[in-house]
Amino acid sequence: MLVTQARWTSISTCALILGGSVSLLSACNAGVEKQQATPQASAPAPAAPAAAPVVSVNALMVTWIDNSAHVLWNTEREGRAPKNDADWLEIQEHATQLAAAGTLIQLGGTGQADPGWAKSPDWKTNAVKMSNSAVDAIAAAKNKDLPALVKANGQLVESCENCHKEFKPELPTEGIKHHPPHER
Amino acid sequence: MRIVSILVAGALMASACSTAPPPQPAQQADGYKPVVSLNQIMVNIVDPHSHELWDAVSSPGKEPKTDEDWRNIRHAAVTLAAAGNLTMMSGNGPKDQVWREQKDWSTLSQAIADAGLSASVAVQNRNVAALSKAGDQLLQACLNCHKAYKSQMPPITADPEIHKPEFQ
Repeated sequence: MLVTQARWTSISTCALILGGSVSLLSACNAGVEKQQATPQASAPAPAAPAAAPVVSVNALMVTWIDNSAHVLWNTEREGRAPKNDADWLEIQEHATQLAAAGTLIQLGGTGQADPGWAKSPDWKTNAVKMSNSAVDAIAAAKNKDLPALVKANGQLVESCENCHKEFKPELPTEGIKHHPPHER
Repeated sequence: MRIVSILVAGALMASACSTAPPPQPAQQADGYKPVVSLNQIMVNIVDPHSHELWDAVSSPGKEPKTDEDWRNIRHAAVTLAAAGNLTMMSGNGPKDQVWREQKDWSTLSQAIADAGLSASVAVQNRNVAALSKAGDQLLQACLNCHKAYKSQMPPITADPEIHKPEFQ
């Protein structure tokens, strides 16, 4: 596993990150995209129509959330702390992706369990926590503040773990390869 | 011609993205509270993944060949499909909620999602021609939306470290 090859700068952070990454991946073994959604009949103004999700939560986890989370967590690996403007911009980019994803997953997805999850108040609570931790990471990246980023990373792990504990406690995806950009 | 189109689309996208407004607390009627602006969504999600897709079909030598190439394109395709949902939900920028309430906003956002889904199907079938068609579909979705909401084209300010060379 890629995670076992990592050389973490802190044992406690390592445990959290391992837990978070495994938890994230556990939701990701069956990325299923739905065929194109038929655009809804002309939406009545002024109320904007509710968005109909077009991909599964699993697909979002695999392709978007897991990838972006690892870009943030990887900054804690030895020699991987952001060093220049471009590094910090990359952190900001992925933190923004995560912040937006927290809002997006509140919509649910096209997966079998997704609509039920999205109806749960705890789902929203955890999704908001994910967004909030990412918003903190954006601020940390803007300020080039590594300790603040590490703190935000910890909050992110916690939100991942809390959510997986409640909605996807099993870990069926051991062995699934991370999206390659994680390991750049 | 295609590269020119892509550059135009890139410029249009960047025009929506040159300044990130300060976050505003916003609670939508449907209960979602966006934490980033549409500008941020464009700069950090839609634009980079669009260019990933367009790059892959921009010239014969660049098309995806390996499993990893196709996996990377799938990542972009799924992200773009979901980003269509995200733009539909809108952001916390100054104009974002106003735009969201316009009649055509949902349709224009769905066009991004549909293009992403077309790309996703092309990836599943490993069909470069279909991927190219999905790229055109995406480009049209970008142009249609920018024509309606953000037609002006200020100087490109995208960061070269984030955006692909073709974007410069």
